[in-house]
Amino acid sequence: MSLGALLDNSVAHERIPVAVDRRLTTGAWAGLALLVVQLLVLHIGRSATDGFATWGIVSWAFTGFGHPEGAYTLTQGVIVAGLVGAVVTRGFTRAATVGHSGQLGLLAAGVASAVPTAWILTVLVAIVVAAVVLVAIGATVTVLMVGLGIAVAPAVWRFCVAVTPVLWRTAVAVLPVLWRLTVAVLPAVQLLLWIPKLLVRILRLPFR
Amino acid sequence: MSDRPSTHAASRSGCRPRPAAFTAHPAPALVVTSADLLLAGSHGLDLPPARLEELRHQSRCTLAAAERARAPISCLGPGFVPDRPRLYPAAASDWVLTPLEDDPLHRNGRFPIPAKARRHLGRLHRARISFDDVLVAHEIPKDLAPSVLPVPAVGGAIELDPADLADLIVHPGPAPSTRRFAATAGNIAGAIGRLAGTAGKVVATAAVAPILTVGCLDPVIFGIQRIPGEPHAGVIYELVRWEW
Repeated sequence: MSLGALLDNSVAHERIPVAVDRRLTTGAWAGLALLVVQLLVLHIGRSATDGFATWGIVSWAFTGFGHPEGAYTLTQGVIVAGLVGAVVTRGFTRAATVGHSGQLGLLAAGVASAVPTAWILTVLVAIVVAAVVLVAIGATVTVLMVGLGIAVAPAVWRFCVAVTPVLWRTAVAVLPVLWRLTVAVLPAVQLLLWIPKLLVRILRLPFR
Repeated sequence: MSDRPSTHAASRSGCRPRPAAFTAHPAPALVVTSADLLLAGSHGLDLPPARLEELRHQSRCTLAAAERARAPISCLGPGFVPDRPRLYPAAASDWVLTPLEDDPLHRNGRFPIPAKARRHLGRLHRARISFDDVLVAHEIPKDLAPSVLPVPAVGGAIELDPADLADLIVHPGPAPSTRRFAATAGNIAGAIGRLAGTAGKVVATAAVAPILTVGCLDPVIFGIQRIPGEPHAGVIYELVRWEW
């Protein structure tokens, strides 16, 4: 037996597989899912034209920090590479078993997924903060209005209860007078409005 | 023992210092190193001075070729070379010395060799340094042999049947560095998974294989250059050694 036979029948010890680690494979799939979410975020940023949130960090996240096309294409490429890697490594399980190199690849994927993770977390935090602020403002106004309504309503009710009879008596007393006045005055008013029309007609006769 | 090629001290001839005629010396009852295993069996090997000088020249050439290939080795001198596996009891552990063709790790086609040692052997092979045979010495736990052999291992060397080796020489499993790397990678993946909202659903499993409990196997690879006219003897070189 020669050295060649020994080398032909040997394997690098570091490449002998370890047991499949579910954390590694789950982490790899989680990283791929994060990249898909990132792609959706960038797609929304590319598609939206009017009325889109333009404040601060949300704008940066949705527009790829000012480079929407480049960020979108890059994310697409990484996802495709990840899917190819998933097929080749049988769902990342093979990569978890093949010594250093496979685990290094999964580790690199995990580190790379830290980018979209931080990105998405920042966007989520920003959205949550905005929502909380809006809800807080709306709640405050609502509470104020309800409080005001509750405090003022009895007074308003009492005012209405008190004023209504007065208005009624006033109306009952005033309306007949107004009616007689109208009946008396209306013909004179009509006559007053008709006289100018007559004068206009008389004055236009020579010019026909 | 460390993961490095052997750097045995060399005399002017490049070989370990020997009595001038390479005559035998009594074999100790217990041996402590794998090199001593072969030296212990060298008693009775008498060679004429001319043949010794020829062997010295041959070993110098071999060592020089290995140096040029950046894969230094050490020469242990001529000695008897066992044709069958042997068990050598030692103080702290036992040793199994076997021709490569009988080694169970080699026979199953997946002999694990650390990458650094493998590169060293590859350089030797590419340098076309000729070795007629390869011997492998494995260290086994002290109490293993008596539990699997029909005859308790006491006293001197015991010749073994190749079929006995499968019980004595156990695969070391994944490398410790790979297991540590897998554990680290798994921890990072778990942390990312928790950030991504899969917390509580990622069941952390042990990223390491069960720790080898059989004991350490510290293989040593010997290269043998047969001596013409001496069917059971050869010039012995220690090529590489490592620890799992």
